[in-house]
Amino acid sequence: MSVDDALAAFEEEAREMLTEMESSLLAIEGGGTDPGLINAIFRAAHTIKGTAGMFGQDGVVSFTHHVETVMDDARKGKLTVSSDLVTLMLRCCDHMGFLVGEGLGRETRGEEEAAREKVLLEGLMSFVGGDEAVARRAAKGADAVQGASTAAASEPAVAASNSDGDGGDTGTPDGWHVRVRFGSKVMREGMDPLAFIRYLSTQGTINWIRSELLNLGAPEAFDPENCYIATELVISGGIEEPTIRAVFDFIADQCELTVEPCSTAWLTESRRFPAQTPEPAAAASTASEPAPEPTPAPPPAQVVASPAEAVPVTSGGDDGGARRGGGVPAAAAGKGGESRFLRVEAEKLDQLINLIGELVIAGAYSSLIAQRLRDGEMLEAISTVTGLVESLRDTALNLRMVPIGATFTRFQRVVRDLSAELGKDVDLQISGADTELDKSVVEKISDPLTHLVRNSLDHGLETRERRIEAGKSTVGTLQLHAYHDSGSIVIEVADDGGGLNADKIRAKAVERGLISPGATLTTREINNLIFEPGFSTADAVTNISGRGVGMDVVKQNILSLRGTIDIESEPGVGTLTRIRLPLTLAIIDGFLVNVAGGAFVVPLSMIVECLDLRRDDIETASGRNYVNLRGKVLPFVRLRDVFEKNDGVQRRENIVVVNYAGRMAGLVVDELVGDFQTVIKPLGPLFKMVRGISGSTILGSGEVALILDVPSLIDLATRIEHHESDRVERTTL
Amino acid sequence: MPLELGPDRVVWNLPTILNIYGVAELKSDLSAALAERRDIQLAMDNVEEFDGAGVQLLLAVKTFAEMQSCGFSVSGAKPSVVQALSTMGLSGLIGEAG
Amino acid sequence: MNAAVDGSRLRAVQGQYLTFYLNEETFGLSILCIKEIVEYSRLTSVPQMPRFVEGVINLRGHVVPVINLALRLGKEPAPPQKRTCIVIIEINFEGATADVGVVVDSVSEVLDVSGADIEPAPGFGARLRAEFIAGMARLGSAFVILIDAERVLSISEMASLAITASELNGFTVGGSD
Repeated sequence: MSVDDALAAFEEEAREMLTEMESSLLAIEGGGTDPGLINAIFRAAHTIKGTAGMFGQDGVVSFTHHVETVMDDARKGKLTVSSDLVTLMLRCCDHMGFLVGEGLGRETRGEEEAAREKVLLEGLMSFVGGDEAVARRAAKGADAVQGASTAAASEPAVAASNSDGDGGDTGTPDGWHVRVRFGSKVMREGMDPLAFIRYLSTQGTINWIRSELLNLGAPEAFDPENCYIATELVISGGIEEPTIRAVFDFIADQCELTVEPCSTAWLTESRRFPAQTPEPAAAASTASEPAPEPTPAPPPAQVVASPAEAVPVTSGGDDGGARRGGGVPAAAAGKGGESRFLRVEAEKLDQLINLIGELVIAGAYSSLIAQRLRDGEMLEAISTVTGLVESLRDTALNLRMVPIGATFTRFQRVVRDLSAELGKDVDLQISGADTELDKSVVEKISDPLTHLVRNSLDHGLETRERRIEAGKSTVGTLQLHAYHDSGSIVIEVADDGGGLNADKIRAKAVERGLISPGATLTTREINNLIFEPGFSTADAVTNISGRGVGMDVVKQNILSLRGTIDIESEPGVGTLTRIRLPLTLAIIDGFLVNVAGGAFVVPLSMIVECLDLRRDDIETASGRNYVNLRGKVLPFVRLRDVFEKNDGVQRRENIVVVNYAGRMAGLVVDELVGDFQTVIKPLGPLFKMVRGISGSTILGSGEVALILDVPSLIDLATRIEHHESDRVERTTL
Repeated sequence: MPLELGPDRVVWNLPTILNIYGVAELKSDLSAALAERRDIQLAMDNVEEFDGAGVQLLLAVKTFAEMQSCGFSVSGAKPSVVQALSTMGLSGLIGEAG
Repeated sequence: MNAAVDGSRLRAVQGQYLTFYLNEETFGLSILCIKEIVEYSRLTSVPQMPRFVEGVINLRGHVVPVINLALRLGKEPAPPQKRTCIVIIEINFEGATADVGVVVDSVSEVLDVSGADIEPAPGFGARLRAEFIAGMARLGSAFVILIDAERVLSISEMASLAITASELNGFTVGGSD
């Protein structure tokens, strides 16, 4: 693992821990009384501090130390978790997020951040009270933080206070003799031996310590990036063995670690490592140190921690702190208990799915040849292979599916903060959190959803007074709901607010020239006009939304995911926005058609039926493009014209009836070929403005076929139809 | 030039970044400094970034210098460097500068 | 013929160049950006693109766009014949590399061009957009126009032309007949 990979893993883990802290805090605020919640917050802070320490992220360590202290008191019952404390803790979580970014060079600290940190620390100190020693400790901690420079190794200096905690277990030896021989690759893989030792020294009292270089060899052979370091020390102060071992967890399989109990007699003696270097002069390279004074003074500040801090961190997965060295960080803890999950790099999964995609294409090609050969046995064999490939494909795609719950849960914080800011009482109801969708879709859905949620909070839900006037409950309801529906995932954002004002929207649309004054539209169609660019009927531009740049961007986002968005509203009752997305972006079950010699693919899930198109089926009166389909009007588009492939050759035409989100249209094509499944290949940035095409795929024959963007074609068909009917109305008036 | 030849010693001015990222480039300077067969003084006035790799380098230079019976000293170490060395139990590396 | 030597117009450097023909005119392209040459075979055309975008081809499982270089350079294209082929060029786009194919009538030889033989693009008279020309290479008594691949195949520029093209075409549906 390179340095970058290790830091990325650290950042990911830290942010996960922060999210857990936030969830638990919100749960407490929501009335949760489970003591496990407080413990969870403590453990998350403790883990962040520990991991940050190993990566030398001193800023994070020192701030988190105080958060941890307060939560430790809370879980010991020494202070009650009030809503003030929760609010403070939530702000501390945000600040810790900033500190993680700062430590990685992604954020810079300005006056605002420094002042904020000061205020937060003071807030934390104020919660640690009562016990004088405890208060002194917290105060000393604050001084050390503010006094030391962030670049230096600033361990929070804490006075040894023994009035609390349980130092003095009969089983704990006076101290431990620790010898660690760091593996030669440790530094190359992004670990810093100094950081490990430094962190260990914050966990107890270092009575003495020395370091040397082993197997150094001749100068010519010396590689400064190899690690030759070995350190030996005695540490006391009530620390337990698992805690010591846990410090080196991350490199456990790369170093030799010995931890032995030692009696007080040992505290003044020193022992040597077995001589491993051929040069006797090597012995001179070590330096033995007597115990430095345990008072917190500017450099060197050896840290003395109170015994109460020595929390055993086991190497199991149950507190979310498990880490193993090398390769991929494994064993991310699930919700308590043994970890059922593996953390895998998304890129590796993508590679796997690509390969399977190639396999699907190769299988299709083989199938084609088998059919040509008309060999029965071969056909059957290929059929078996195809079946297996399909299962493999489905299983692999399933690997990329993640529940939408995590995205939904993030909104709890958004809703909480925003409703407070707006002065509205809002109850957020989430359902269908288990509904799964493709990982790449989840990432891209977050922004549009956020916008919709903010819209509902800002414009949809009324203020308390208005709601009372309207006879509604004072608490507004916001619902996030997800479910699967025939090959798609549907996400609904609903509020019981004032609903959309169709007249206002209509007026605005006329003003903007989007519709003609005399046009007849259903309420639903009027409401969906808000997705047009530049549309905003908010009377005042508020801080949060309503600048008119929102809904059309949301729609574009959704369209680019091959989804649709649609809005329903009833004035005075509420508004529902429904987003529909395909379950996967990678592979498609398609239906192949020919249009003037070019191959096109229609997504199978959207096809209703295919029909012959005869001249007399087409309503030619008044130049409209529609078909009478068993009594219903079906608008259609001729792909030959849309895609300008009109080569003048008359062919028999067929119509593919498609349906997306309740709207139907016909696509007129030449030849119907058949259904098959294949991998979607993006066309590339050169073609990003092309409308009506959403991608390409490679057929078994090697030819490239274009995949139709059915929603936008349906859009086109219905728009043309409206345009036509408008035109007709205008000409007949 | 990182290496300055003094009358009785070679002074090696260590760079600002003396951590795992910067340490590999110093191998040639190390060889050059040792080749002088004089006492080596590590001038750390510019060193700002310092980690375990830096600690190791200091200790290695001291070892190699002593192997060829040359003296070793460190000068200009900033508090952060002194503290790091102390954390590893190597405060003795900081002798008095000549 | 010699315009004043203007450093900014002399971008081509010495090296090896692949020469090829576009409607009987000779051009050159630095071999540093050339990945391979494939035969001119089944092309899938993509709608709403400017005329010079011929479409896409399947290159060992990757979908690669193909540009008609003659049209892109503003020349009349020759109809495809036996020696017509597609040169696959690797260009930079937004920090990554992308493959683009260009249709040429036929390829000729790879020339070693020394710096002394390269002249800047003429200020006028070349009938090509000046920025497409990386330089002029002297070949005996004639000159070969050396193409600046990055500019000619600038994806952002070509993509923006596509918007204009589709707006002009209106993305309309033909009337009934």
